[in-house]
Amino acid sequence: MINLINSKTGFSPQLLLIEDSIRRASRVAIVLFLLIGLSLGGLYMYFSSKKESLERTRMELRSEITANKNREGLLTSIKDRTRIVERVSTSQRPWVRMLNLLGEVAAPPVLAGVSVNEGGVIETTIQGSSFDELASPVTSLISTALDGKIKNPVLRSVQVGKDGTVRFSITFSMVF
Amino acid sequence: MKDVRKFLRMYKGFVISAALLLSVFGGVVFGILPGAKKVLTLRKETDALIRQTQDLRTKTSVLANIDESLYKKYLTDLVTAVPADQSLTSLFSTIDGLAGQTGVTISDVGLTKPGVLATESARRQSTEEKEIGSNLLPFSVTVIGSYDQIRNFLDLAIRVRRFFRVRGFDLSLIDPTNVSVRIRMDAYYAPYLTVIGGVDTIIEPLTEKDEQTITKVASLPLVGGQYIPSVSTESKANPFAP
Repeated sequence: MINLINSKTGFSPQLLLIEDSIRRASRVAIVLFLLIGLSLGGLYMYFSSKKESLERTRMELRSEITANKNREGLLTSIKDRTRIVERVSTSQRPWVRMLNLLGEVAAPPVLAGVSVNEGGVIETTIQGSSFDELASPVTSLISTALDGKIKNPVLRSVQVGKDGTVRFSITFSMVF
Repeated sequence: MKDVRKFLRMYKGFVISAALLLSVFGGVVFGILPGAKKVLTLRKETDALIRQTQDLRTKTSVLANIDESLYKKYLTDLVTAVPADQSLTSLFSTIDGLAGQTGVTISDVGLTKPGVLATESARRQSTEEKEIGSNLLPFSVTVIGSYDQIRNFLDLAIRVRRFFRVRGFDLSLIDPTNVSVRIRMDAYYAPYLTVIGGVDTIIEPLTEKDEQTITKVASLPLVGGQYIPSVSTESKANPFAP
């Protein structure tokens, strides 16, 4: 018997071309799929083992830090108190500078009194037997203000006692 | 059925290729994409762990380099300057020491704020105290001496290793050589930290500036006897823990 059925399909050349392209594409896709799959698998293994090792290291470090809690407390306390000390130091005012300055302008007994109020305003009282005697301290105080060592000098009051004693009350602020 | 077989026989090449492509597509959707997502998540977690481990390693190294006895001395020096409590003993002994060193006579010392001896839990910090980061214990002292002695007293009062500040004063002439001053002062104190950060909290080592501050404090004179405060280094992660 002779088989008269053609074993080859009678596809047109275009269809054959398309079939060939699809076949090639499927092969490339499979190869790529396998490559990407293997690479991902490799990366997964790598990152998993790295994560595991890092977690182990982290646990070891954490327990080491916990064991050194006392040292950490010491360091943290020192840091905290150092900051406090720094801020405290800036809040201290060297009033001795003001007393030195007043000592140059008018020493006791001409300098009868000094008051520093909560706002840092200084009220000073100078006294003398005459206006002329007080002229020099007042001039010195004015020149100190001009030098920028004190600010806002104000003559608050002038009193003349029965014995002729003259008292000046002057306020000013110190420039630190 | 016959038609299907005929179709499959005819388009065998197409069918196999299409089935392979479909399988690959399915593999990509259900395998590659979730796998890639998982790997990316793992990578992020690993990166975060690397950073954490580096921080922990730095912290471990900082802690390992601490010389405990030296640091205890540092803290003692700092706590002598700004005690953890009101420390009235050191306050009065320092004032007494200042008077002894400068030659003035103390005629009166007193705490100025009512309720100033209240416990820490009973008091609230003022705005000024919050700014400074330290509590203030106001007191006043009246001293008598020559102008120079008073000047030295005020000078030394802020240069001793028990920090005070002069808030204000009233100086008046008693006789041509002696003056009397009522000085309003504040003594500083700050309680110890009760809580420190967790294990993962980053800590900085002492900087050069910190060490300079500590050296400066340590160089200040202790007057009125050697008052050494007890230093507590025990910190609790939970302050309410027993």
